[in-house]
Amino acid sequence: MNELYSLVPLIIVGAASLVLMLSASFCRSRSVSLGIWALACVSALVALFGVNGSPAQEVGEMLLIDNMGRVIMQMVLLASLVVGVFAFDYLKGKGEHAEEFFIALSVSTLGAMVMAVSQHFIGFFLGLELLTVPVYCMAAYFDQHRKGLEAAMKYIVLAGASAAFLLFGMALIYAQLGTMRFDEMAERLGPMWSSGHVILLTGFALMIVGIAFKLSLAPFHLWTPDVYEGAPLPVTAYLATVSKGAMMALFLRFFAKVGAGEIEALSSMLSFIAIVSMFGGNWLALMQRNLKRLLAYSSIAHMGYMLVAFLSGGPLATGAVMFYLSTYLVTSLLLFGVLIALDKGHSETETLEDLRGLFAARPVLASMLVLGLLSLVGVPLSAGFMGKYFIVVAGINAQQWVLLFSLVASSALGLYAYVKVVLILFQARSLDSVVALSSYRWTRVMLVLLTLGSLLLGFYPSPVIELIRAAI
Amino acid sequence: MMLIGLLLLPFAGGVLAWLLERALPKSARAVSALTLLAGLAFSFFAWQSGGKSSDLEDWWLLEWRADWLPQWGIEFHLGLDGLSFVLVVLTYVMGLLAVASSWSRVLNNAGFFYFCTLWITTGVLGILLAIDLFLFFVFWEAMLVPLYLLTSMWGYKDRAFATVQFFIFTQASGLLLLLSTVVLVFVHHAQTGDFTFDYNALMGTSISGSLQTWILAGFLVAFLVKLPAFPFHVWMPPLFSEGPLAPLLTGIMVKTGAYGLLRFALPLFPESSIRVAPAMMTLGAISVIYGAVLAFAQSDPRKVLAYSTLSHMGLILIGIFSHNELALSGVVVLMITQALSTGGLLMLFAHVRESVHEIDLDKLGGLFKVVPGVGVLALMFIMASVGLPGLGNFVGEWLVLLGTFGANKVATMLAASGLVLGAIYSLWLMQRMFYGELKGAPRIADLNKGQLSIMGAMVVVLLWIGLYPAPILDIVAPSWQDAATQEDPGDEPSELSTLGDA
Repeated sequence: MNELYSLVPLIIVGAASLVLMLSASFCRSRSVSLGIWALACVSALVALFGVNGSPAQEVGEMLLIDNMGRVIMQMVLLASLVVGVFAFDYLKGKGEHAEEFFIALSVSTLGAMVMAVSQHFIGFFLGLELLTVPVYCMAAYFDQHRKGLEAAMKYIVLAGASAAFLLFGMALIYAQLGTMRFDEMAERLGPMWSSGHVILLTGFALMIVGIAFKLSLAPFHLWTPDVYEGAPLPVTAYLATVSKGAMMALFLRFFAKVGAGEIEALSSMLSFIAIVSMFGGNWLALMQRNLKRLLAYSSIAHMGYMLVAFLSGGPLATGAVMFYLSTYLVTSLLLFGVLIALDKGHSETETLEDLRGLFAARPVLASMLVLGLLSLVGVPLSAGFMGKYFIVVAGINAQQWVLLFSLVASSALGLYAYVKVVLILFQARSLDSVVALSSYRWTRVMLVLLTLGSLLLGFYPSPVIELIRAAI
Repeated sequence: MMLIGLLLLPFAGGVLAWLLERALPKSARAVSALTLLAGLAFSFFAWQSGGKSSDLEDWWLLEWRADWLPQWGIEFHLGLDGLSFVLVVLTYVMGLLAVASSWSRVLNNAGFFYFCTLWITTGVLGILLAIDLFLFFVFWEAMLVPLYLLTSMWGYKDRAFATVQFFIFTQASGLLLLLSTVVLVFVHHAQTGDFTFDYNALMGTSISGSLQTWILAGFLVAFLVKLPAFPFHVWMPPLFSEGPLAPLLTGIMVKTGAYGLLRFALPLFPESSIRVAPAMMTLGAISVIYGAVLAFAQSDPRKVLAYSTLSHMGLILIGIFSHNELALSGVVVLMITQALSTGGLLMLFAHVRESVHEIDLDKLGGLFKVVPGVGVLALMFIMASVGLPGLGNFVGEWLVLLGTFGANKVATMLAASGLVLGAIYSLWLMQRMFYGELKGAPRIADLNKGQLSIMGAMVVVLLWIGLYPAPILDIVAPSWQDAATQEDPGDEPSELSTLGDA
């Protein structure tokens, strides 16, 4: 019975997708879809808040619903709710049906939640596929849009290939260790290491390739700018937040549980990936003129920062990763939300030219954009700074000097990319002024909440830190 | 309680100015001026009433603390002593001068302009008052944002590049400062089990030689960029000529670098700061000469002043690292007087620019005939900047040279040469701009009574400091003497070298 109770959030989200499917056949209404989705998210969140702090509950072989998993599920649900609101306004603006989108969104969120609590390779893979496949549909939602279709195709091919790598890696590890459960793997890893060395290492390395793809870490990041640019804005927001968040959380749990941090070769591999991501992401962001691509490259760099925390190991590191994840989610949603609110109807607001002189025309939205960009830069009193600070603390604790100096140097390198955008906002007003459509009411409500959240995380992150500490 | 009021007063005033501007045009500048005057008076009042209560540290005259992030050992901790008080007063004065110099400028969005100005003032006050290292860092970096906004929106034509360059320099060096701060905190934690960013707690941490030097290096980079010192000075000249509030810049922000060195770099890392002293003095000497030589070659008088500031900052750097009380007091006097004299000159040039729209020494000349008021005041400020005895700068320079001579004779000689070079470029500037044939200046309004009185007051202050510097020296002196762990006031090189081995 306990198992059923702990599964309630997952059941709610799964049921939501069914209800959405049914409602689509009865009445085609965007508001109804949003209403169902919002109801589902809120009730799942309430269910999660209710059981916060209770002992971990194993459900079958595949799921372990512990406190950390619950916190991650809460983050995922909040982000999905916000994306749902964004999508509602966006689709209304384009005059498209919304039901299918929400169905895909709910299934994908379910996948993310499964990933957050899995403790078994199959659970991992199931969750991953549940998360990814609907995103193909969401990215290609506007079938008249060439760019969307192209983005979806690229994503399908590359995600499929990386899933194959992941699966092969899992198979190799299973072949050597004889189990797919994380905790049993932890037990068998130590003695097995000496004898089955090469196969295990290959298995882990292949898994890392698959995971790095999803996290858009260099050098497996090539899909990121194109998919970010081609997909519709709410989908990009979803990819940037929930998709990455779920995978990072799972990666953290897997590595920590299995104790793979001990393996030298893997740490070196991950360090290399982190450094290349940080420098590559920041450097490539410098030359972008499209804001969506800029955010894509910046997300590569930020995932690199998270890896720095990850590699530091220990409870401090886990807290750092989770806190950075929360600040990154808030900042990304804020930035994408502003872009959605500036939607021009026939085309998206995405190039830097579109943003020229925004501060004069739309000061509030421009200020939110500035807040988000400064948070990405890491100016103190912004959410991003607190996250980065936590990473620095974790890194110094573990004496990861090379990684830390790379973090500092790459941050400095990438500054200009964001500063450039802020500068453009303040320049003289362009003739083609951007007008926010008045019907994007809910998006703006969400933006206000996100801004408050960002300010809270920047000025007074204590409550959130306490929440995360309690969960680890 | 008073400290937090002192800190937030300008910010509150700025918000008020911004809001009021919509209702009453041209009210923003009055509100700003009043706020800053109130702040100035309040700071004097706070100083007078600085009693010590039993549960506060002995060091600070006034203190205020509140919990902020207890899990990370971070508090909102403010403290005031002699050194900070003097600089707080300077900050308010420079803020007033900034408001005064833009009084008659036509500004669109004036409310936001004054809000940014007062925001910068708050930021600098935060830097001066913060004695929790994390809080210090936050203010150090957070001050950039309003400066960036100010320069982007109201600067002159080539401002984009200047601002971006400044931003990148400061942010990058700030990250190194953060790294060093956190390492220091960790070292302290390893020794005492106490995770804290509190200045007083961290003061006594004993750190092994090379690690201490590395941590100090992080602090030094950040402070040298802000000071600025050669070779990190690159951001300054463009910002001087393109930024709209150059007096503010020179007066306030530049001093934060020197303050950082005095407050943090020296006391927290006594042995390492002695060890790096020769290198720092070399950098200082290079700054002095490099700045002076380049100042001579400029055709934009504001850039002349930028390089002149670099030159003076070199002298300050030498003074700081001499580890001598006289020199340190001289450094503070020099900071104040240099801010006033250079600030005054920049205000005059801004005034001229209002009419002429492009100040170029090749195109301007003989202005004394047209605007004698400007000329006389410029002459006085230039005399001050050159180090004429009787005016404040001389006191500062004299004390620094006197104090440094015991520590490093070569540096002192090179710094002294800076005085000569300073005279060369300053007089050359004066000659080109105000004497000789009248050219390129059709119609420049002379200073009105208000401006004359303000600048006159500045000259009077410089004279007063020049003739009677004792009050300032007395206020600042305890900062060097009281704390037992402060830098050692030895003049003998042998004493210093044995401490370096400890």
